Amino acid sequence: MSIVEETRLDPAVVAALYADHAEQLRRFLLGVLRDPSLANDVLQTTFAKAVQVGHTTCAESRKAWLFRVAYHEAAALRRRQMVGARARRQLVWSRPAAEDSADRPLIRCETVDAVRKALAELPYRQRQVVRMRIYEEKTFAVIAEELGIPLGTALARMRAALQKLGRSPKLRDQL
Amino acid sequence: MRHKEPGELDWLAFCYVADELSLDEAAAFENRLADDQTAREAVARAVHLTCAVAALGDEDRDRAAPVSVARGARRRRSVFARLLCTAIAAAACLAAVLAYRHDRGVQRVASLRQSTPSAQQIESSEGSPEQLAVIWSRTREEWAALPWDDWAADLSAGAGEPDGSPAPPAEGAADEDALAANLPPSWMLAAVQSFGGRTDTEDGSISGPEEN
Repeated sequence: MSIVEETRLDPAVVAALYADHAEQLRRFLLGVLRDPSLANDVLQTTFAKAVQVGHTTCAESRKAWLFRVAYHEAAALRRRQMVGARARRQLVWSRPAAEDSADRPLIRCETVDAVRKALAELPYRQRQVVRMRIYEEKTFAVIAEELGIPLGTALARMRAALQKLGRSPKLRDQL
Repeated sequence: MRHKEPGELDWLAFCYVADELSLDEAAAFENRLADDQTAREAVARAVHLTCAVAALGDEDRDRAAPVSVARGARRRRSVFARLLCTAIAAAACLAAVLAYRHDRGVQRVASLRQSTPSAQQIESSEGSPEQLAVIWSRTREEWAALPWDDWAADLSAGAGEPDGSPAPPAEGAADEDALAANLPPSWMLAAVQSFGGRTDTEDGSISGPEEN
C-alpha cells in the first residue's frame, strides 16, 4: 500500500459517511446555494475532499467537518460565479425529479404524506399563510396585504405553523 | 452562540432560506453557518420541510389537472349522450303520435262506412249521390201528394178557345184560380216529370241513385 493510499480514508468509511449524511448535507447546500445542480456539484466536491483529507479528522467530528467543508465550498462557488445576491436567493422549491439523484430523491413519498397529515391539523389561518408562502411563493409582505393583516401577524402565523409542524410526531421521524 | 429557544433558530433558518432576511441579517446568519453546526442542521430542516410542503402542492395540482380534464371529457360525453337520448325520445314520441292519429283516422273511416248514415249525415256530406237520392225521394213523396196532373192540364190549356175568346169559366173556376196562384214554375215541373218518368216504379221507390 502506497503512502498516499495510507493517508486516505477507507472507501468503506467514505461510503458510510455518504449514506449517513449526504441527504442532509444536500438540503443544507440547497438552502445556501438555492440551486439543486450547484448543490449536487458542491456535495461531490465535499466528499472528494473527504476522501483526500478526511483521514485528518476524528470520527466523532466528521459530520460537522463535512458541513463546514460544504459551506466553504458553496461560498467559494458563489464568489466565483459572481451571481447577484437577490437572484441567487430565489429558490425554486419544486423542481423536476430528474434534477434529483435517482437513488436519493430530495423528498420521499413518506415525508409528503406526513406533511399532508400535519398540515391538516393546523388551524385554518396558519395553513392559509403556509399555502400562500410556499405554494404560491408570495412574500410575507404580499401575504399581509392580501389578507389585510399586519406583517407581524403574517410572520407570527407562519412561525407558529412551523413550530407545530416541527413538533408533529408525524414529521419528527421524517425531518 | 445559540439562541435561547430552538424554535427561534428554526424560524431564523426558515427566513434565511425563504429570503425573508435583510442583507445584513442574511450576512450575519451566513457567518454563523461557518461555525454553528446546529444552525446548519436548522437550515437543512427548513429546506426539507419547505420542499415537502411544496411537493404536496405540486401533487394536488397534478391530481386536480387530469381529473378536471377527465371530468370535462366525461361532462362533454354525458351532455352529448343526454342530447342524443332526448332527440331519440322526441323522435319516438313524434312517431307514436303520428301512428296514433293515422290509426284513429283509419278507424273513423271504417266506422263511418259500417254505420247506416242518417239523412242528416248524408245531407251534411256535400254532393254525394246518396245525399241526392234521399233528398229526391223525400221530395217526391211530398210532391206526389200535389195535383201535378191538374196543373199540367191547366198549362196545356192555358192558351184558351181556338177563336181566341177566352174560354168560359169551367166549373170550380174559383178553386182553379187559387190553384193557379200556387203553381210551381214550369222548369221544376219538367224536371220532376222527367225524373219521375225515369225512376218511377210500381211501388214508387227509387230504382237507383240519380246520376248527376
